[in-house]
Amino acid sequence: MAPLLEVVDVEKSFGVKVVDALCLQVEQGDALGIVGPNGAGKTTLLNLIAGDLSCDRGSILIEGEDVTRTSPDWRCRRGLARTAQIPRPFEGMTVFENVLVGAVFGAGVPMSEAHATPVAVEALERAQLLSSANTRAGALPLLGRKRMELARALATRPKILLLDEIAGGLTEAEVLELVETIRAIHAGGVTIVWIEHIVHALLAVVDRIMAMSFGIKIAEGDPAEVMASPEVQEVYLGVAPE
Amino acid sequence: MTGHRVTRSDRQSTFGLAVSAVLLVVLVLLPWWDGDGSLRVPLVPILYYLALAQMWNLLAGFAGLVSIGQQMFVGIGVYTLLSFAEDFGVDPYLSVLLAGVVAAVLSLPVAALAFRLRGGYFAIGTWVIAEVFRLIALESGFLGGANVRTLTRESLGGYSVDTRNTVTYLMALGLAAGATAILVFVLRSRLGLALRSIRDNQEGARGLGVSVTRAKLVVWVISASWTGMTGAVILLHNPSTRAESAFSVLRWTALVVFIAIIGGVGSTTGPIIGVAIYWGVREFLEDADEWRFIILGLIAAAMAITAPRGVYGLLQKRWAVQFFPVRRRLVGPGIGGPAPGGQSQPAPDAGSTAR
Repeated sequence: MAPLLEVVDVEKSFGVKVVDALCLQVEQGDALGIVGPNGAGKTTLLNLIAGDLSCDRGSILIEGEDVTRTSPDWRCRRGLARTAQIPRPFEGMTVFENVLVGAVFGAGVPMSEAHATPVAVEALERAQLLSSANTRAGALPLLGRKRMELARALATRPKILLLDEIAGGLTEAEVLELVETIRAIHAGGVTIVWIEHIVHALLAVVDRIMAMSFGIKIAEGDPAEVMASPEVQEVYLGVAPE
Repeated sequence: MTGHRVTRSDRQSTFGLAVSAVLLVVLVLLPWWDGDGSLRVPLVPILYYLALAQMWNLLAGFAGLVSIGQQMFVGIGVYTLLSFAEDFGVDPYLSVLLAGVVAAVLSLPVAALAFRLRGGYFAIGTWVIAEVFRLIALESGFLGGANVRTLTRESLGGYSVDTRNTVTYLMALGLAAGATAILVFVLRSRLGLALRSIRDNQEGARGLGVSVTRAKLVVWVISASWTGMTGAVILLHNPSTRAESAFSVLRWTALVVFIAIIGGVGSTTGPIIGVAIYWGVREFLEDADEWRFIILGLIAAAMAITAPRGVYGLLQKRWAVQFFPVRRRLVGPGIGGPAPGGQSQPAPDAGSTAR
């Protein structure tokens, strides 16, 4: 069977190569962490996978199907969901309505609102946001916005969830809360690809890590081994290995 | 099941619907007590301007499609009615429906061109395309060229003046009320959910599976079709026309934009307020067309700077009113926040005006 997500020889350049001949395979049930210094091309890679950017070369496959030339909304309906590093809330809508958008349109075929409502409620529960369901999204604090990104993505019932620095900017206590939530989501059968600078948060969830530098994959494998490897130590100054 | 459900009505919107229903019944029955037509006839422009303003509002305020080319659909409606009724002898009132069909069909190739453009370029693009339609009407011998064309008594069939006034009035009323109802129904539907999400954050909406182009196209066709029918009714009201006035950007887009901006773009109620203000200015200035444009334009410019969400936005800032029930509120166990009908955390159907 084809891997759930496959990245084959993908390249993207903005004058300089930001992602360079990168290959990646993610199997059903994996939890993959992606680390690397600022400017390593992590978010660009995620944008290429989600379809927010188009590849200069190479291809992206979901369950063996080439989706390189498809739109982000199409990939979402194929089972790929993401959270954005800078949350993209629908500020004039309530938290519930935000999540309902994902539940209605993220399904393979758009769902009726009546069928989507329980899906949205479940996603709100899993992201611990149900109590703020009728709050206007623009009024949410940062943790709330991050949780809403998560709830919206979950409401699309993804097979694979891409998380982009979802723990960034949170307090230590908030990070721990969020890690628990993400762990539960992974345990519930959702495959996870997570970019994160807060390494201890990542290590609490992922079972594999890929390290990037200047658009190139420099290491991949067991989290502890990757973080301890000399290459990663070299580029990841200031982060001590576990 | 989780035992959660969605409610949309609250006390205000129930009140709003009741008021609208009473008003609508009064307006529908008006021909039966307005014997000489002294109310019916002057009301028609108010009503068709409301229809035009709501359709522009649907495009600009909810789909982010700031069209400056609405006059193309008015003109298409006018010339469809003229052609069918005058040249092919089709019943004029049936031709109004055909005007809607023709406008919807022609809106598709227009979308294929204009949808490649974004923001201000889209606005200018629609204007340029509308000019092309005007020039086609001007140059076409079949459509009458630069000549004045009139819907003649023969093509209006055996209908008496009184019947014609009444039918035109009722059609204009149907278009105005229908345009408002379309907005409310669209906003309550999944399409409305998609449009509001696109308006707030287009990339975010795409990432959640929303087909942005499809949602915008559906709205574009609805708006074109309704604007086309409105154009046909404008001809019924004022049966002489020529290409310059049928495709007038000033009359059928600029004034409409003023009305929508003054009342409040991006809300269902704003254009109703805007058209009421237009009526006031019109009564005050009687026949001075140019002054009407200048004064409304100045008010609109002042509003756009000081109160970008119009009079409705000002009202809502103060009282958080919802006149038509379009918001969704989740009720069930474990949900905090205000009880249904509460006002402490309004989620306006307005939101920010599309850029």
